[in-house]
This record gives sequence, structure tokens and C-alpha cells, in this order.
Amino acid sequence: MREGRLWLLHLIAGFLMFFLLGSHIFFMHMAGGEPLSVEETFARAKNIAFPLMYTIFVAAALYHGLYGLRGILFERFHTPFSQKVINWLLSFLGTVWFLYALATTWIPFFK
Amino acid sequence: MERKKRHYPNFPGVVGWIYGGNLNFERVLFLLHRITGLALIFYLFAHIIVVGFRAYSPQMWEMVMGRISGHANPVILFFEWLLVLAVIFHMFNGMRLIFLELGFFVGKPSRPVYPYRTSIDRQRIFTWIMMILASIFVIWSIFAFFMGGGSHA
Repeated sequence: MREGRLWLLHLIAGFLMFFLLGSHIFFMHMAGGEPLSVEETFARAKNIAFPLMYTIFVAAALYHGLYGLRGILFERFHTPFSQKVINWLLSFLGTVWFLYALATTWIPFFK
Repeated sequence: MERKKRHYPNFPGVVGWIYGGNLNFERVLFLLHRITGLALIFYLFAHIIVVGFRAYSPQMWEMVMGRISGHANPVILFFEWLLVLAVIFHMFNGMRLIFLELGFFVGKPSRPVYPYRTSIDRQRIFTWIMMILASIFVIWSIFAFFMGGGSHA
């Protein structure tokens, strides 16, 4: 994919994260109640809106974060070979982490 | 035989985060954006592992939360709050960057007539507005974390 498109995706993911991460932080840490209790955690996991939202959230967060990390690494390692290694490494890391997050998000929903 | 030069002077690297360019307000924001961004991506990996424990069983979830929740340990609570600070700053500064990258709040192009105005002057009001909004949420987070208003206090 062209660099411009990757950058645009980074911006779109960042814009999405402003609302998704904002609401996550608000409801988990600032709104009160017991959002991390077993009852509330598993009640949320059974409501399809939450696994769906978290799937988009994790995809956006991993892409946005790893693209940012890629930019920082590219500033230090700027030969074409090292940049190719970084691209493959971060793509692999992001895919593995996304699949793990996907599994752990949807398993409680189907259990 | 002369060795090939491996360092490019126009790539200052990590140290250039600090010395590259003028150390003005936007530069400090840039530096903080990178530091918070790096902290958040590494935290995200750990967070995905911890949250993933709920896939095993409710008992496993309860045990993990009992050990690492801010309820259990004030030091963890403090680090959770630092994390929320990083998120708030990164979110509002990131939103500022998105708007500026897309050409909002930078003013219309004008002829370079003395006394010159840089686009930094025009964007700085927007920068301050975003930082004030971030500060409001920081104050709210202090209340939520340490004064009984949130989920962890």
C-alpha cells in the first residue's frame, strides 16, 4: 500500500480512537460503579455491542500504535533492508496480537 | 579505501527529538506525544494479555483483578492514573495534530509582508484550547481516582 494511504489510515484510526478510547477510559475509570467486577464484566461480554465495539477498537489501536512505532523506528533505521524487516516484524506482531485479542473478546460471548 | 558513511546528518535519530528545531511549546508537545505514544503501545500489549484472562473463567478474572486492580494497591492506582494522564494528553494533542494536518486552524495563505507571521501563531490558539480541554479531564481524573468519584478510588 502507498505511504499516503497508510498515513491516512493512521489518521482515521486516531480519529476513531478519540471516541472509542475516550469512552473506554470514561466508563472504566471515571464514571464510578464497579465496571471490573465479575458480574459487570461478563454481562458486557454477553452483549454483542461490546465485543463488536472492542474488535474495532483493538484493530484501530493496534494499527495506530504500531504505525506510530514504525515511524519512530524508521527515523533510526533508514536503510531499505532494515525498513523491510521492521514492516514485516510489526505486521506479524500486530496480526498475532489482534488474533489473540479477537479470541479473548469473543470466547466469553459464545461460552 | 574510504568507508561508506553510515550516518545521515538529516536523520538526527532519537536524540534529535530534543535538539532538532526550536524547543518551543509545539516541540514540547511533540516530545510528550512520542513518549506517551510509546508508553501506550507497550501498555496495550500488556493490557490485551491481562484482559484476555476473562476468556478462561470468571474465577480466573476475579483472581487477576484482585492482584492488579487499583483497589488492591495504591502504587498500582497511581500508575493507572499516570496511564490515564498519558491517554488524555495523547488524545487531545492527537486530535489537534489531525486537524492541523488536514489544514484546519492554520489560517489562509498570505503574502510574506513584514512583520512576518508564521502559521504557528495562528494555530497556537487552537493548541491552547485543546490543552485546556485536556487539563479539564486531568482535573476530573484526579477527582475520579483519588477523591472517591471513580471506579478505582
